[in-house]
Amino acid sequence: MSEMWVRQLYRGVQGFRLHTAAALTSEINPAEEEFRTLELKTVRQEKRTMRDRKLTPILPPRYKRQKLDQNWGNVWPTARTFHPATVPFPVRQGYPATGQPTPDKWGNAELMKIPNFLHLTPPIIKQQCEVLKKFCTPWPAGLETPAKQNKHFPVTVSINSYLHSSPSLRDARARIVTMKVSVKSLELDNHGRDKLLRLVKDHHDPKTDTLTLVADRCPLSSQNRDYCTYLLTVLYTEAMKTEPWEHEKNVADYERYVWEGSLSEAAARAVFSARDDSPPEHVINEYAKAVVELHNEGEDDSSVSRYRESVLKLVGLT
Amino acid sequence: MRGSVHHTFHRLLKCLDLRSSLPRRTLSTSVPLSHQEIVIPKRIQRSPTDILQALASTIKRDTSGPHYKHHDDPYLTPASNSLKRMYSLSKESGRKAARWIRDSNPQLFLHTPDDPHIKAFAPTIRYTEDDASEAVLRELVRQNEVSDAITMYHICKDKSIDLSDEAKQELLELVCYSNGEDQLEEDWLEERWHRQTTTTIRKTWNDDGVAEELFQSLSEKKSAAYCALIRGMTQYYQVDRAWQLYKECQEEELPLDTNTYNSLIRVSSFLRDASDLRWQLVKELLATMAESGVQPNLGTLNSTLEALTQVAGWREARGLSLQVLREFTQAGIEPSLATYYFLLLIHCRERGPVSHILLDILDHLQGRAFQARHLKDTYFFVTAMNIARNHIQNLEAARHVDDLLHTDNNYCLIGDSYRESVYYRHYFALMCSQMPIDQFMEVYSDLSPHIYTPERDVMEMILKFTTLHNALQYIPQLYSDMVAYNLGNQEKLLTLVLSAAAQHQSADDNIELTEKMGRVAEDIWTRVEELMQDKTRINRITWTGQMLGDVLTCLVVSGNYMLCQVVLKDATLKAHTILGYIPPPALRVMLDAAIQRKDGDTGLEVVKYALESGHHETGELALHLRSSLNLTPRQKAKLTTALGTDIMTEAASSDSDSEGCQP
Repeated sequence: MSEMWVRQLYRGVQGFRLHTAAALTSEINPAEEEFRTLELKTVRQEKRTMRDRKLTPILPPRYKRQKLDQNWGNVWPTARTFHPATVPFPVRQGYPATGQPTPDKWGNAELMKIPNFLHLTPPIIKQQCEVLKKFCTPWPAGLETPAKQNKHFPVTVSINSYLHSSPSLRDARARIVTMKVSVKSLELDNHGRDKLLRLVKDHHDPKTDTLTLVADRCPLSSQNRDYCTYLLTVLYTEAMKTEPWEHEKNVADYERYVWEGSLSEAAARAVFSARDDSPPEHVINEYAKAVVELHNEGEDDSSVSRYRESVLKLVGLT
Repeated sequence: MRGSVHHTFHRLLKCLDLRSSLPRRTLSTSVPLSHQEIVIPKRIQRSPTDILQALASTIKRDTSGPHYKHHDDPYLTPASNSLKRMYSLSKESGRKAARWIRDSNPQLFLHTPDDPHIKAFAPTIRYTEDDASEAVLRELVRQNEVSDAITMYHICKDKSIDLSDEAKQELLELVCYSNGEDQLEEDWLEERWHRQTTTTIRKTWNDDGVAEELFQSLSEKKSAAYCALIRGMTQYYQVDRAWQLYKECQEEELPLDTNTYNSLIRVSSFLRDASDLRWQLVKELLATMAESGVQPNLGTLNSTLEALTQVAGWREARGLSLQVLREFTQAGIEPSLATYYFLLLIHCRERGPVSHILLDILDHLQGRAFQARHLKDTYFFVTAMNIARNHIQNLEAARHVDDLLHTDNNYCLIGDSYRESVYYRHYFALMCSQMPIDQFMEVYSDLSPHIYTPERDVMEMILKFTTLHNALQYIPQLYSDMVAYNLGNQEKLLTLVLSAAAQHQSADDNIELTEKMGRVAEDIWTRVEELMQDKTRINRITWTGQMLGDVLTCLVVSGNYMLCQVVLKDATLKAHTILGYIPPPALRVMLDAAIQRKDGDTGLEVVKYALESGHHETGELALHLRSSLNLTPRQKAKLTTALGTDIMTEAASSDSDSEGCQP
């Protein structure tokens, strides 16, 4: 502590108490109780001369040594933060200050922040693909198109694995297994399909007609996979079976509107029998189709107009 | 960085299986199912790092930048050998410091999120006296902690803890292998790389060590114990005792294993004096091996050849070595690089006849990939290059050696940093002397400084050859490289650079080069002056007259007249610190420059210097000055006081000499 600080403390700086203040005050030399001179400038301690550091001679930047036909993959083998002395071409990035050009590559934080893909130039990718080919097997014959693939292998199982830049390998999400089957490929009859869809409910996507089963209840993905297989098996067998109580299914339980034996048919037949003439089959069929469409697919302009047309034809008003 | 790798086991399964295990419904339509047999090829097995290794094989060393262990930044790239060493060792000392902190504060490293547990990250367990037991001793032996294991052994003995024979055997093997000394850990790569091992062969076996004691304390001295002890003793050249033990084994008819026999063969030259007796001993040992039914291995071949290198002066040695090689190859033992190393040692001796066996070996080994199979494999490339340079002076052979070194992963067998530098030293020397200078400079620019930094002698050679071939355009680059490689204060090299620079003739098409030469001279001047003033340096450079003369010539030629005057003044003032005198041709050049600039004072200084130096040509110079320049009376007076009145009256016979010198 230089002398000035000691003096300030002795004078009692307002609102500022150092725990060492007491110790300092006790050190005051009683002989110095004369009026002290105020020194605004601190007396400089004798300057410690720093040993002259010998500057190591710096080599010119790396890009100056690079030949035009060099193998770039050897210079930039992996993903790396941009370094201007190694990248041989001039590149600019950033918003320029007024009257200045766009900042160049030297000390350019913008260039350093963004990911560069200098390690993935097309020739290098080609080289790496060539080298990885020996781990690849050829695509099986007979599975060229998605149609063929779906025909032979309609079941898809998806498992994700996770990579962490940390000492631990574990991730709880790696046990989740998703199994997707196209219901059409199960080749169930109407009853089977209806039963299956009632069993699975939300797991079936009507737009793509896929059944999705997700399992995460077991700790290992292999166990979850087995569980999915088991589930699918059970669903299929149940769908194939017919329980004795299923005959109790009545019109209210039907999943789709059926025209044969419905009130609409009864009403139409009643009308025809009253008139003593029935229109031709195809007109009746057209009417039936229109009614079924209205019930099953819902009402919209086209289906309502089709109904209208069919009714008019039926009644003979066209 | 979090990422997810999405595996779709897309066509793997089980749908076919699924259907076959269930009651099949008969299809109403009879469509013939033409089941094409879909064959899924089996997955190609790969180890966890195979893909990484495959990708790594696409990358080779790039010579434009430093080794990947250094930071790739212009300010952090080491150019000189000392900097390279310093940077890599200091980085490693950081790692050592980290390990020390971890091991001295294990209570701070209890949090282990790693799953599965990584043993290398955990602090090393330090055992204390209280946990002395056989299990702990065996654990220490397994961890290769030599001194700790020996201490634990003594503790066990003091506490009278019985040790089983297996534990003693394990400890005996460790002590014999390491001679009771701790070995440098495998983790400290840089230290191992920069380690310089002495090659002097002398007995280093620790006679008072714990090995003999352990051996004696064994309840039953089995052949394994004898093997370990013999091998250890031969390794550290305690040959007499090893031989004694061998004799004991022979008497007790204990079988010994291959490597023990190999180690005895290797040191057989210490047991006999005459060459033919040594070879006889080797043959006896091999015969004993054959009798006992012990199969020879690569070590046997290499030890036999090593024994022959010890008698390489014997005229039979060369023929025998080839015979040995033939027999072993027929027996199915594939020679390693060490075999060829010994062959080279035997055939290509310094004071022996010239042998071109290297060319045959290289033909045989062309394009092959090698692994380290013997301790001395790493000696091959250095020796091969040495022989290519010194013994047969064949550049083609050297090129083949270099190609072999760079095939596949053979570069791993270069050994350590010292051997690498010796290898390149020989290569550079050979190329320098035999290749056209332009080609050589291409190779030089490619390899230095990042692969190899030339040492002082090699640099000297390069400078000499550049001057010889009059390729003076390379001098500035060589000088700046010299400075970067920390050779800028070597007197010999500076002399060579200056003499080369002084030889440069200025012409219209090499103005740039002339400028560069001038800058070189200037830089050397300033550098040496600084060094001379630096009182902390022990060996300082002294100017020689020749050097100063070259400096002057360069500066004059490049047009830096002001600095010339400074140099001359300095030379005159500090004439007592300069070795020799500035030679007359340089003075002449300076004088011409002074005359051209009509600088009479400087001209006078030149003449005065010449006079003080006692050159014969002083008179000529004075006359030349007087006749070419109109001197002021004061200058004339000075001239007269220096040289006498004759100088004024003598005829201008030197007028004819004063033409043509364009400063």
